[in-house]
Amino acid sequence: MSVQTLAPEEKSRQQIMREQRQRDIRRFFHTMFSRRIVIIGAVGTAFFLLIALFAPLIAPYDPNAVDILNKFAPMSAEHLLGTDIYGRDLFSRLVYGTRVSILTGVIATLMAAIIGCLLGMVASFYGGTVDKLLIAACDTFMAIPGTALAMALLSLLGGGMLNMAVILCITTIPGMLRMMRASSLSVMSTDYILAAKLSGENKLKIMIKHVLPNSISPIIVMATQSVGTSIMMESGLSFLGIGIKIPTASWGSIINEARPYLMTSPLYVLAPCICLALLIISLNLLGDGIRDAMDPSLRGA
Amino acid sequence: MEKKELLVEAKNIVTTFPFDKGTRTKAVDGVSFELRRGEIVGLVGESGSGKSVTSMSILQLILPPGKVSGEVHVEGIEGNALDYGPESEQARAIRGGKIGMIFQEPMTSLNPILTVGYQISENIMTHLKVDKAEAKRQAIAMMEKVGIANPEIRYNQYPLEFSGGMRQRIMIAMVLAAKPEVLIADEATTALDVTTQAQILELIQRLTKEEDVSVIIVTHNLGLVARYADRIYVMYGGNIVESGDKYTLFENPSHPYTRGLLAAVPRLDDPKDRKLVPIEGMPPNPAEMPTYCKFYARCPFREDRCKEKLCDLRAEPEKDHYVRCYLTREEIEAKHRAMGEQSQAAAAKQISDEVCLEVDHLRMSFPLYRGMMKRKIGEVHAVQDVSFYVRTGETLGIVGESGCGKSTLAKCIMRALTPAEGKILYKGTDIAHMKEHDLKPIRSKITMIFQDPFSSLDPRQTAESIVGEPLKINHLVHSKAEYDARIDELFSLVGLNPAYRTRVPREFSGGQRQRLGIARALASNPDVIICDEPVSALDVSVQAQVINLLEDLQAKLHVTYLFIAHDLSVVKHISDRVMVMYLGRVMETAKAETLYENPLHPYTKALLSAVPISDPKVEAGRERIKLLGEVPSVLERPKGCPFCERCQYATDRCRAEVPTLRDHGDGQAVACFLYE
Amino acid sequence: MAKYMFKRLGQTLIIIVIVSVLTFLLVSLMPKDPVYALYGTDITQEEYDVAFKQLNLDKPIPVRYLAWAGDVLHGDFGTSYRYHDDVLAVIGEKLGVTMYLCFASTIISFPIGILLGVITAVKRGKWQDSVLTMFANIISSIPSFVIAIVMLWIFCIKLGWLPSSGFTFPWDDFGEHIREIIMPLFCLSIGGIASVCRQTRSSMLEAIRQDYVRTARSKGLKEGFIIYKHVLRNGLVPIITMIGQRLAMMMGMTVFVENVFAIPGIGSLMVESVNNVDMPVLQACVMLSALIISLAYLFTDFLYVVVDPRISLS
Repeated sequence: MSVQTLAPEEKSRQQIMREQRQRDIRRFFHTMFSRRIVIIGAVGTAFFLLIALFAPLIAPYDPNAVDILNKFAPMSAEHLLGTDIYGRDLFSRLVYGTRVSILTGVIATLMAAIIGCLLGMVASFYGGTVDKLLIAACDTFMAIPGTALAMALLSLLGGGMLNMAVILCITTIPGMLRMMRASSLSVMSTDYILAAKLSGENKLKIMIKHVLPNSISPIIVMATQSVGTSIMMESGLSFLGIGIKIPTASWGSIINEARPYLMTSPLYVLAPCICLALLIISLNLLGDGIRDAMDPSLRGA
Repeated sequence: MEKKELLVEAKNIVTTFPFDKGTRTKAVDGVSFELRRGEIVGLVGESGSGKSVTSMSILQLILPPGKVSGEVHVEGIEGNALDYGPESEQARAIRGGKIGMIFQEPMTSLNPILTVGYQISENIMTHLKVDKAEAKRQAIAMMEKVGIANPEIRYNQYPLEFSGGMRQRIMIAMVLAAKPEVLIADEATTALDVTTQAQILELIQRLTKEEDVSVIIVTHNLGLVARYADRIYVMYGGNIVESGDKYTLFENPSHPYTRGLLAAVPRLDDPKDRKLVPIEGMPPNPAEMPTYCKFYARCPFREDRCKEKLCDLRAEPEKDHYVRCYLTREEIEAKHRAMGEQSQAAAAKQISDEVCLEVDHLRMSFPLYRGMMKRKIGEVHAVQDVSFYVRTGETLGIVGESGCGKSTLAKCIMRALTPAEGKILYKGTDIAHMKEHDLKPIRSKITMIFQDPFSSLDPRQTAESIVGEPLKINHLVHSKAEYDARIDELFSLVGLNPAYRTRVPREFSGGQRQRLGIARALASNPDVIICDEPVSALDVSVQAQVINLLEDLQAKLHVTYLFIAHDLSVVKHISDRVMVMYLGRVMETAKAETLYENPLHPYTKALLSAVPISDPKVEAGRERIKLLGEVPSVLERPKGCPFCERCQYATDRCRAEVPTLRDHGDGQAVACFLYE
Repeated sequence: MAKYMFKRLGQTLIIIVIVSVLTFLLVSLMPKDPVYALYGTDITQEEYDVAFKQLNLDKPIPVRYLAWAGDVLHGDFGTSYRYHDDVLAVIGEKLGVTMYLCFASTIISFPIGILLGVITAVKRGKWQDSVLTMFANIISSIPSFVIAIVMLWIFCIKLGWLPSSGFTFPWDDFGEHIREIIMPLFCLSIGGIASVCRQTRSSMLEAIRQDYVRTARSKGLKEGFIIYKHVLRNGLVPIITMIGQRLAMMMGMTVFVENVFAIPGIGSLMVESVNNVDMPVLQACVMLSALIISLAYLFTDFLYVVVDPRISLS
């Protein structure tokens, strides 16, 4: 009988487990950052996250402090990026705008991922009518352009950050649901699920213990990519003047407000544009790295 | 006998692939071989031995970042073919034109969105420089030759409209249509059913003789080369370890690996109590490929000199027999004797008279739906009227080709499916239609070992929790200490180091995973274990380890096995009695030896004759039964005997009536009108 | 095949019906009183009651839905709260403008995207691949209205080459049409080009790995021919599914682009009706775009069946 000889020292179980986890994590980050551009994405994302976190410390002024006498001030030591139409400090508004963008994007995606996951599992678990209804609902939502859907819901619920997050969440759920359904269905057809069933394991427990952990990785990948999409959508709707309403500083609403002055003070418009582009690019680059690291085909078997 | 003209000669082929950072691993390490006109050469090895990479290297089908070096000389091509580069005119003339290749997966090797006719014509037009109409004419002629009915119509069909065996025929037609001189069949029949496999190989043998094409058969199956090849090269870890005429090689195997392989493979003509001798350990990891003998770590005869440097191929006394080992045959024989008789008889097991599991007139069918409203249009009868019994401690083997219903039967007994009709009696209790709640205590008594060691273990659970799951579900342990002790016991029982319990499945090899699967099946102290193709995903050398383990466990724990497999040699080796199924019905049951020595049903006979035995001498004397057609889909089951359309003895009665299983004495029963 | 298309047609109809229910509910749930919205707040109670009855507001919601759905089937989407005119008349030519933009940019983005995708796949790992892939990644990360504004700033304000706004149909003034449409079309297409390029690249690379490509190589075919006949044709199958999806994306994006370049299309109209709570118009816009997108999905599936024999055979 072939019994491989093992290292003689008998390590404690926890220790072996811990080492194993560390090895997995190291391997994950190694694959993730194997392309240098992903590091740029990670640094960019971290940069914006820090700004959002420490906004009150970084911003020199209250983003909503009006100083009518000093409107359209040029770049200066006092006002790094000048002031806007009401004399508010543009830099401070951009700093606080980071918070709004990241917060709405992250909250919307998290909610959508959780709800999408749950519904996807429900669809694959029950099958039949429940499944058909959920899929029909997804198809319906996918037939309406995302912007139109969001606009219709906005007109019903009204703007504001929380409503915005809820609406973005609703537009993201169908994709998540479909993904989770497909992924958990493929897991449910494997032999190890059959094995668990045949040992008499409770069906709900199987879903939680075996199906969920094995089918969640595409959802995580999708979520990292959908943060960027949600931010894009939020800023777009705010730009149209129907999303996050003035005076809350959101990059989209700043652009909207500044648009008439593109000719006279281009920085006012272009600065938030650049911030927006940089944030979403960073997020997507990071998301690509996470996708590569989670792709099972790349992992050593 | 004068030597025939040399068609292909490969010298010192080295194929490397990048591995990790900067390092390259040698998949093929200095392989040389030759092929002469009219020959059939076998290239044998397990997965990872480099046999397929070798054949692809000759055709320069290795894509960057893989690299091939060495020399390939092909008849009619000036100089070293490898010097021209894979995209050169010469290399393309060799590929398809001089040497055609058939691959393993008939399902994926043809382009799904192009018609088969086009794919054949494409090859003809490329190499024979004829116009479209002429190519079509030749393609249709070739399709007819490989046995495709209505070739004019089928020319315009897509690969999806052909069965696996038919697609492989298309591949053969495609390759031979360009009139090559050499045909490489790379595991060309591995994915097919046994009887189809035999048909395809017979076809290759016949057609290549007719068209004067030489053949290289690349396979892991020793029996296949014993039956079809003239000369054999045995590969291991990227090296050719032994080569020679097939009679010489099987009679006087000189390399420890070849010897080990022959001792590890069950044969149809084995005596009842033969114990397999597995090759210990696993094939070398490509990351740590040794520079010396690749077999060193697993070799029972190894010496220190083996570790110094790789031995060159050296000639054995027989003609054209070469071996890559420092030890002579005499030295190995002497060592072998000194080590004592390894192949002792199988451990004695007891079979009691008590019937443990009985299946009575079991039927299972699946509804067929069609259309938007999911209207039921009929039923697929996967299992029809199956009855059998197993005694405690016995192994009942169930064999059959795809669609025979053996897996559905297993699922019904496991109650993953609820049978439509019939009884499943476990120790006298009918479990066929029991409610899930009442089934729970039975579930711990009937367990299962799965085919695929990769998909049957949850990749995110540790080995311990996989094996321990049944313990927890059935509340078989009451404390952590008891649990740990039981896990350790189970691990040792299946030959796994208990210290591996915190590892996850991907850190185990295929064989070790199957051991985990066995440990899980044993955890709840079952009476019956259903083994669904438990060794078919494993390499031959590892197969023997698992088969022996199963046999030892049965002797030790007195469990009953239902052993389901398509490989008749394995089933015959491990089983006490064998049940042969075809299209959902039982054709014959008999004791394992009786089945081999005196098969009654025409289907059993055909099945047995299709299985090659890894001994050319025995092979030469065997009768080969030619079967008509292929295994039909369950949907097209004939009205009478399911086998009637392929049976040479079939009468009108066979086509109208279904024969019942009749006792024929000595535990043998057959469902055939010939024996009434 | 016919059966499959019939089934898909049925599904599309169901989706349209569900969308209509949802949009109807959208209006019914709005707190804004339709009577005041239509006739102003200074009407008498009698006038109010008459109008209330006329609009079926005294009936339960299902009845109102059926009445409304019947009207819609006759092309009557109701009266705009803002323009006090028939909704279809308000939408009128605007739908044409939007459709023109979306179809034009679909037609532009697919060939270019596929071409670039093929280049990146064939040159995988080389500099062409890295540059194009990185470019595609970055472009698809920038919101279309940001691209639009930056373009406006460069080509209109800084360089003064192109007009900042407006839309003229090509048959009215072709030169003017081209000058006006360059920027909007670019903004709408660039994202599509990038994502078609990415998808083509990955599905080509997927196809290159398949066994049948190895078979084609083993037949000694030329590499270029293998790419064209065996890789590209299989690689394009998943691209076809993107047509419907891209059109849906474009219908969404056009809202921003129309807004920046002041193009009188459905997108601008939707923003306007949200701002003015002009629910009947918004309702009609959502319904019509869902209809167009569903038809595009249907067309996509039809193409899919034509290209891939696997679907009609299984």
